[in-house]
Amino acid sequence: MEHEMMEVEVLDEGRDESEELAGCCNGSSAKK
Amino acid sequence: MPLSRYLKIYPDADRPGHVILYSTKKGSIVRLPEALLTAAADGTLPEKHRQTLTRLEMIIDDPAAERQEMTALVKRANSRSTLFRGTVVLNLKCNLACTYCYEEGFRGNLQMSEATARTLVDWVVAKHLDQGRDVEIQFYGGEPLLSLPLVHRISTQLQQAAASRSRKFSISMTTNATLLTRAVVQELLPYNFIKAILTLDGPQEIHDAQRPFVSGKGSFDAIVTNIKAVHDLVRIDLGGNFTPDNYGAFPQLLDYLLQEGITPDKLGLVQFSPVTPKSGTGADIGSGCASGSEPWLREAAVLLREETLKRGFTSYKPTMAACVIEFDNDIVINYDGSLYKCAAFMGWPELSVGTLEGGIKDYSVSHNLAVWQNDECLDCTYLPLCFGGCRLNPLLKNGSINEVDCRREFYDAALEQFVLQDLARR
Repeated sequence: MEHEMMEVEVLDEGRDESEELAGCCNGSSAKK
Repeated sequence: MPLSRYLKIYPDADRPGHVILYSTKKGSIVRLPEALLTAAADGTLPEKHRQTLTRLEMIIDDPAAERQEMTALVKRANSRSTLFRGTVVLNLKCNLACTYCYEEGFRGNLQMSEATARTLVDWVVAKHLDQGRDVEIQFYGGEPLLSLPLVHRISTQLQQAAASRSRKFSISMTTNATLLTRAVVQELLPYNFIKAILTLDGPQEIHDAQRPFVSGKGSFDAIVTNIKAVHDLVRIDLGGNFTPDNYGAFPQLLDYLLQEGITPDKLGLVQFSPVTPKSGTGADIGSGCASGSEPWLREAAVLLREETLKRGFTSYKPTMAACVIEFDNDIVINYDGSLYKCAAFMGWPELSVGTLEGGIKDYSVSHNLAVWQNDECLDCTYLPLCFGGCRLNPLLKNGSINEVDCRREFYDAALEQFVLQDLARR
């Protein structure tokens, strides 16, 4: 099949442009 | 146009001849025929598909520019930040005696003084509200609800200061929830109480053994009673700490919650994590997990996320994230006015980054902020999800933040499963 006829199926658009880098807290959030 | 280096390609078990592409940077996911992937790699992709994959950050103009962008990302996030998040450690005392408490080596009958609380309020006003930032105070301990009058005093003053400057103010709390009654939550709601983070360590038998009251009595029933009493007032995020020996029993807790009417709509995020070793120099790291890449942890993470999602609860989603120590406007204020970049660092006084009175010193070397800015990390597909991982882990293992907490093995084993788990519930 020609590439033009093939489909790219978008399953998730991902993060919005406006979303900032998240903070990750593994060390202390609830481990006490 | 080349493929992004921050792209994972997984076979599509449901559609032979197709692949799933997942961008670790954008979090985007597509399904396409293998022939299109080949075309993307050799630059012969039709324009309409090229535009789609470019928008989803799966193909890029310039690999060197993409790498440079990642190097600058934390700096950019800091320069754009308009929110100060202060973790306020009101005390280091607790009504529970959890077997694994990382604060064991330095907790005691210690509480923030009225004078320190006043200094704290003045500091937040001058350094953050007056600089145009919104403020979120995350109350922490010990057990913060043992210092409820201080919660009121600090929140009242900062809320008024924020309002007079047209800035937003909110509070959240990491609490063992034994004192989180409906009356207490109602008292705190006027301060824009957005979230309480609680802990249930699996089913009652395990929880009560790991998280007893100081008296030795189990705390499970008191916490469940309070969740039922407050879930309609404030968002509840539920954590839980597992070991290699007991994580398999944690789904029983989820079934129990459902049986008790604590359904997915009544909870925010549900996320279980491994017990970590106790903080401080000389800590016995054999007492907990000090690495994100231990083989059993990969199995536990995939299993518990699946069991959580399967029952309709919300679990974490892999997303672009960095250790909180990277963020200029995140700080931990200890009960005595000393400042840290992570609450778990309180066991290492030498990692204090300053005081409310004296200000914040340069911690870029002591905290090795550039630890992930090396070729191996910058070329790693997982960098956007990791940025060097949890800095507590090298500190526990080596006594200093002298290396990254590499997550490559963990993500090699677990990320495809996470992506498939989410796709199955689209």
